Amino acid sequence: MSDYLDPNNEELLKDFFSEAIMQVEAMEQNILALEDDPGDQDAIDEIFRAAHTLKGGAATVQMEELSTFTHLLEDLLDEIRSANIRINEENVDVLLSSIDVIKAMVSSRQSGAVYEEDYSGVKANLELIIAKKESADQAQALKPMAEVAQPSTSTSPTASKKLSEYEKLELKEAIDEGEKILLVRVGFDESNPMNSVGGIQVFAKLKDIGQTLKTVPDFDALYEDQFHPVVDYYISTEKGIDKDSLVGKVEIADVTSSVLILGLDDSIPGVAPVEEAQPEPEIKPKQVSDPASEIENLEDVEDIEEIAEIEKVIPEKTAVKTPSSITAKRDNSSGSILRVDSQRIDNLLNLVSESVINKATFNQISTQFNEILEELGSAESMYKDNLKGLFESLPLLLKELQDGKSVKDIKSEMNDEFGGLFTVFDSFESGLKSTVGAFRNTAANLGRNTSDLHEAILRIRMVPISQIFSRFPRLVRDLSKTLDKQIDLIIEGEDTELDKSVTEELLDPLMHCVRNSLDHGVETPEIRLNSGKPAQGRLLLKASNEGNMIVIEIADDGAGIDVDKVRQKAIDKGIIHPNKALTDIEAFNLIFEPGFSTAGEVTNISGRGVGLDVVRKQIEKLNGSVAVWSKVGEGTRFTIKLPLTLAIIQGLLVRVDTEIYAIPITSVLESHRIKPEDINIIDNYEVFNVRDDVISLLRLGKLFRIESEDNSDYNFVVIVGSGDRKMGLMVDSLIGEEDVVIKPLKDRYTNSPGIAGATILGDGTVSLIIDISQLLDLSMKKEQEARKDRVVR
Amino acid sequence: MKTTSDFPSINERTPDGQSNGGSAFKVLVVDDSMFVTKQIGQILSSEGFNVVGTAADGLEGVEKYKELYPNVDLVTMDITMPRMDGVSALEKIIEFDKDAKVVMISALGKQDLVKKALLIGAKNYIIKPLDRKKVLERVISVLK
Repeated sequence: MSDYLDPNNEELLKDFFSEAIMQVEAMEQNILALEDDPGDQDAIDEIFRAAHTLKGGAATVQMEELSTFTHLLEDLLDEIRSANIRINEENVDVLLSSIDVIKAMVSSRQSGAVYEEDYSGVKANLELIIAKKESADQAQALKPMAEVAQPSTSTSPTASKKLSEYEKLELKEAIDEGEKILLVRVGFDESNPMNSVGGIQVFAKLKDIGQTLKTVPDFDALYEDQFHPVVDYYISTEKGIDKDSLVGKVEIADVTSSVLILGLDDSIPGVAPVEEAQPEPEIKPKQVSDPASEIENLEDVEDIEEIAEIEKVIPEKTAVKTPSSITAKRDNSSGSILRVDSQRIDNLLNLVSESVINKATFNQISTQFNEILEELGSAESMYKDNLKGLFESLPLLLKELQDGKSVKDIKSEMNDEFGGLFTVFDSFESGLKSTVGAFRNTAANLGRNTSDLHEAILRIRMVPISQIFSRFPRLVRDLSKTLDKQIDLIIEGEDTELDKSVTEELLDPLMHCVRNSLDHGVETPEIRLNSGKPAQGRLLLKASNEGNMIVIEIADDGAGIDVDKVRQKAIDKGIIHPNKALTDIEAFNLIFEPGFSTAGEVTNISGRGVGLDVVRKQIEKLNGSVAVWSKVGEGTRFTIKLPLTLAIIQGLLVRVDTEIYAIPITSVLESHRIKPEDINIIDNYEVFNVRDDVISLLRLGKLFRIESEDNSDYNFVVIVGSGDRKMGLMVDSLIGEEDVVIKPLKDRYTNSPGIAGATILGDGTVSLIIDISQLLDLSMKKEQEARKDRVVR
Repeated sequence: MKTTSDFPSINERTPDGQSNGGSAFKVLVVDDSMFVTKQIGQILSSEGFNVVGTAADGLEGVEKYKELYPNVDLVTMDITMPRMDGVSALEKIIEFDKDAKVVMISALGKQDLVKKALLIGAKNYIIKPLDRKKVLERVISVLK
């Protein structure tokens, strides 16, 4: 490998990985498209192209395992493309499982390791399909299966074969007068990776010299994918041409090993005299294939078939195993690459240039303020001088008054001399007024500009949700096969955009919900037919925008959730108080509680009891909410609501003593001002009544151990939560709503429960952002402990 | 006065003591893989070639060539690409300019297409994975 393309070059690797993932996705999508329509030539071409690009890239970064494997896959694809192998479900399964292997290879390389899992099963299956085709076609049985590029044992006809007299005569007839026939004998370098191309390459090159009349082996043989160590070209050229000068024109670096040019009737020397007197190693044809080797080859085919038979059981296992190992090894934080529409960058550039202009205006205003300050200084000294003069002249004027001067005269004298005092500050004032006006305008511009910038930056981070939706057709296909159910997946609104970081975190919860719907929701075809539904179940995956939230719906037309069962189970498990009155909606949402699973039996796909609570936790981590709606017999619908971005949130600023905290506004339901006597105590914890609801209270000051002088007449309670989980946070006062930029805290701080991050307020003080989902968990736990306490007592 | 020998670092980078072959030659890179395009760009520009355009598929490549013509000396053309493959694109380019210098880029396994391209009029080919020395050698030999 060259010194320049360092396979460990970080940037190249990054490019490779991002591209590899795209190719793999493209392959997967098109394989599924192919299953629906086996005649889809575009899909085959696309898969082929993606596999090919992947192979090239893999070889460059020295991922031998991937390039070899992709090569094998490519062989199969080639057969499919030339319609030698028909697409059926079995083949699609093998193709998909090999995509899984490729994924695993890429991801393990991404984490710095080499893929070590055993994929011989998948490999054998691939070979089996190719072999099947080959054995069906006896004439081609000898063609090696995996290594098409490898020279086969059968070889070219003897290149050094002399032309018969008749053939020579034929050639001589073909040329015009003034031309002569030359024999160009070219030896080829076998070590060239594409050694089978040389024959044609020289043929193409000879066009510049003259007309090629004949080649030995003949042209068709050269076109075959086979290496010929020596090829004779008979060309017609002008008589005058010097044979030796032609040698340089025919030679091609790395391709030819020797070039010999003779007249038609010249005798052929035993060893070809090459320019550098280099011995020609390949002048003799390789061993001609004999019957024995043919038999050997046939046996090879059978051997592989046998191996494939034995290992046929394995691939399914590996196929199931690999995805889990991928998720385990995936490192989300490193090397995520964003592809951005250049128009969005241009837009951003525009806004930045506007803010540069803004800055210039501010500079100007600052100069103006300086001028005004100077003016103020000079006005002030003028004022002082005048005042001093006034004080000094007062005794004189008094004396003049005593001497009998009229008051009127003195007044006019004073007016003449000191009347300027009234207008000393006028120009300063008008200057100040206009500059302040300009300052206000520019500040307003800056505000507009900043919010535009904010939006533009967010748009840069926006990616269409199809990036994750695209994985579901495969998932649904695999699952429905495993579960023996028929499912029609409908995807809507895949162009809906959301923040890249949200996308990355969203995949797992979505998968979970889909798995849940498929496993527990949609019934088997028999049950469906019995209850009068079509055998094929329907799963809808839909994304849409709602204000500055994105709404994702996962809906099925399956059995639905039995409310009473859920309610009973929640009481059994101690999640809710037996007396608590719950609406149906609230009851449905109990399925998100930890340790809750209504599934009777544990299946491979879902129902291990660690399920939907993880989904809710993950969604709440993203500042979103998840809710479920269901009707027995009609189906279930999960609705996930998420903010468009994670970087900036709307926060409600609250004050506890001198500390200011920010509560994400998306989880704020309402706020109340309450008197201390409104607070009741139930089961050892503080609660208060809002309309018909009882809300438990948590004093933020107590939680964060802030000594608050609690002597005000009122307290403020912010009610936060979603669905059935609500709680009141007690604070000293509410400050207001503001856009809050989230800054992550270093690890050792985030350990404190209830803190999601920090932000810097307008005046530079740091305020902590409250993690509502953690607080809800905390209060839930406290509530349960308190209840237990009471039961024990 | 300074001579080129005062800049050994530049000469060192040139393989096999070849002269700085790339000076100001204008190259169009046609490849659907951004990764490969970048590589070729890096290799060529380090030797003073001037990558005047890139295209992500055959169709775009042909358009770019027509647009750039005659200010383009060499095209590197990937064989497998979406929309229009390299061989068809080569055909179109040769149709437009029979003296066009096109070097095919191909991974192993595409021998038949490489042969086809050579017969149509491609001047040479380069095998993927790309090797800096080979790329330069072949490109320079075609331009000579």
